[in-house]
Amino acid sequence: MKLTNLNELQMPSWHWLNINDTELNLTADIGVAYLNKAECRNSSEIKLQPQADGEPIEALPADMQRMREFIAAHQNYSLTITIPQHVRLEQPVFLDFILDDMSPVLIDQLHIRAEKGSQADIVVTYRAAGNAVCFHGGFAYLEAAPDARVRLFKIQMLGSNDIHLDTTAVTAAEGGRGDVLTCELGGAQVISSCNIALAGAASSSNLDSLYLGSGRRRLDLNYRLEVRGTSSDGEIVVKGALSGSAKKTLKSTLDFISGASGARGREVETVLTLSDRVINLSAPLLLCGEDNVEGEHATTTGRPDEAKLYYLMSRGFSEKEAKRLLVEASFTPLLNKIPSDSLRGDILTKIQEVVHDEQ
Amino acid sequence: MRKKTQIGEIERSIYDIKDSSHASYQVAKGLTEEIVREISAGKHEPAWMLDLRLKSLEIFKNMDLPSWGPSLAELDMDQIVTYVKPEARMTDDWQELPEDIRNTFDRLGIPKAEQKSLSGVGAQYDSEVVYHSMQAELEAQGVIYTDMETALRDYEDIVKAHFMKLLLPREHKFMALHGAVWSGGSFVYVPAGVEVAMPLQSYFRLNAPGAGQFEHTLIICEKGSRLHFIEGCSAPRYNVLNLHAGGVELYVGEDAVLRYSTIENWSKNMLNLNSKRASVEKNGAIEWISGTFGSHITMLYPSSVLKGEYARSEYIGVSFASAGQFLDTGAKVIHAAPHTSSTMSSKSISKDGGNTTTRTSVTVHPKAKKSKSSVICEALMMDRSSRSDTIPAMDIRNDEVDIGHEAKIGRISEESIFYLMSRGLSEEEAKALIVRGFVEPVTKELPLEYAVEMNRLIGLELEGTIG
Repeated sequence: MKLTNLNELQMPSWHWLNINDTELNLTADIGVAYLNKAECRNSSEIKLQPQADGEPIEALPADMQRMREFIAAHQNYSLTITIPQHVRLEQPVFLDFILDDMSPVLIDQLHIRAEKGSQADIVVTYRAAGNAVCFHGGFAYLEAAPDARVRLFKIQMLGSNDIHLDTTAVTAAEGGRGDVLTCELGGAQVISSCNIALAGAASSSNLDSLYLGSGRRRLDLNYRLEVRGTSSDGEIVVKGALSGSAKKTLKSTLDFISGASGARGREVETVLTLSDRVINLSAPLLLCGEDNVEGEHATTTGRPDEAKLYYLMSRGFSEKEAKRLLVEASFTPLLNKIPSDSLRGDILTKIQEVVHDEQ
Repeated sequence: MRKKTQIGEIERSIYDIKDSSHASYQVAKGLTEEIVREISAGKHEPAWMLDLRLKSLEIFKNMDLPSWGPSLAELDMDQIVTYVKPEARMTDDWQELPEDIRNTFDRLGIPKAEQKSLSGVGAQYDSEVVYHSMQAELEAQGVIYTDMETALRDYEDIVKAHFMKLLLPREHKFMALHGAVWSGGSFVYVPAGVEVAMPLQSYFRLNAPGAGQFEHTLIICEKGSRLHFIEGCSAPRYNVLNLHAGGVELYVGEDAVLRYSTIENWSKNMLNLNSKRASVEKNGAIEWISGTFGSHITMLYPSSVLKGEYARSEYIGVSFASAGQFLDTGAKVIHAAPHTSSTMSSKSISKDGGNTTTRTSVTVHPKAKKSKSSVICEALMMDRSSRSDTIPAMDIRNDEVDIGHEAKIGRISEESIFYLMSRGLSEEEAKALIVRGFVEPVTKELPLEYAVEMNRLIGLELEGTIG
């Protein structure tokens, strides 16, 4: 099966850049059940329903809508999580998926409803075990009702031969906040997208993304922040490290819609390159149909700072250790947001693998 | 109630005067092989040029319109006249031109500029160059500045080796169109070590309604030479579409520096689909200065190929779009050698429903180690009926690079106004200073006369407060 027109750039550019969209040759048998039990921890105060509804999502870009339809047609796991009105969870909710020889295919649809005034952290992890080549396809929809505050963490740690095709959509109503943090740490081919609609007045969101590219990994990331509500505020922060012959394509769009008076938005991308064979493509779009806004974008790419490397090496660290420390330092502001010590530890281990093994 | 900052329309009265002069000859509307052969035969071209035209025509026929950028659906090539020969023969004496053509260039200030601040001038009217002149001392130094038709006749080997070697007809539909029907334009050859002190300027005027202008500019700067070339263009406004698909090819030799400045003020019935590319050798530099004010639709992205070590490119552009305008501009740079560097600085202003798009690309090849690139895009939105989009792309293929991109969008900040007022300026003065400062990176790079002209073009009228 060939999936085309994935991760479309919201406003296309020169075709020779090969950045306008992407495609996926899917060889996995997607008609199989997911037999493993997805473990949901700390769920006593929330409602769980073993299905996700298909209600329309306003202003979802066409490529993500197609992804949603594909996932809905082939899903082998679905779940709706509802955080009731004014419930504030003290502990994060964890939803852990494992793909293995028994269940090498997971196609999940998640719907997270944060009702008015609620507050929660939801952590979803995707891991692989065994020898099978695994495929994960997923669609998650996060609805932040007025004054709700939700953080969704999606941590992907699949194997080096696996495929990860993932989309997240967020809608934030008046005063609502829907943050997303994605970590793309594994997989041979990663096609990941996230659309955040700041629909209500004074709504807000941070979209954070952290990725590691190593070996011959191919990452295609498409992030969009649609700023519609007056005085809304959003930020896209992407930090990555590339080594080996990895290729990363990042499309990030900050879209101010006419009427979003008083809104603010920022995009920041930082890429550390650890090998001279990496391919690093970026298309950070800044689209504006409203005059009373403040929007800005900044991208920096390059090797770890040589002065810092030299300093660390003069203190007794090897070059690889020094580089690992600098990658970790770059990632730390995002890593610190993850509400789990063990997960942070797993991510740090992954960083170590990349920096040590793939240069 | 707070009032918005008002920025006036560009004053166009000089540019909109239509000449009564009739063409001495023009081809039929549309684009056919017969028309292409007719243009070529009329110019008594060598066979290889006719062959290039016909191959380009085939490519044009088989290519789709671009699927990105502003819609070009309203372009009907069957309604475009691709070649219009004016009732004038090329001369080096303004007095020999027909009165209305001479008056047009007088009003545009070209002869006056020639006397005061230029080393040479070329003036094209519709499809042919009608005036060309250069200071004798430059001629004595071996500088060649002439129209493309003369160059094709007198310097055929040089032209053949360079013509449409940077702009390949297969790259896009309008490059193919240009290859098929090009006419007019300038040829400049600067020998090694020669520094041309004052700029050369070519001015392109399109007077005929429903016509296309497809001039080709070919500049070769040999090792260690220096040149500033200025390109100006305008047309009166008609109710039918006009089309401009010119081509500019610049060869910058080792240690040479070429500055290419453009002040474009086409009328608002013009589709301006121009292509420009420079190839830069070791230690050479290309500097693009670009002001885009007119046209209904512009798609223009000067491109630099940095072929030699330490080659550099600089792009400074400003665009100003008001009602009915879609100005899709920017620049491209390809770092193909080590230690190359590039900067792009783009400024745009949108008002009254105008649309500006800044589109850039930075490509760094694997062997272009220790290259640097900086891209800065700033957009000023004057009202919410306008649009301003920034679409950059970076393709980086080695790790020893220093690449940065920044973009900002917004309106004039109240803090800036407040600060300047706290320093004794009136609110009006403060706003005028800020908007002029916004476009200053372009104006300061132009010769004084052209900077004044550009400021006049912008025609800033500020009143009221920010809001």
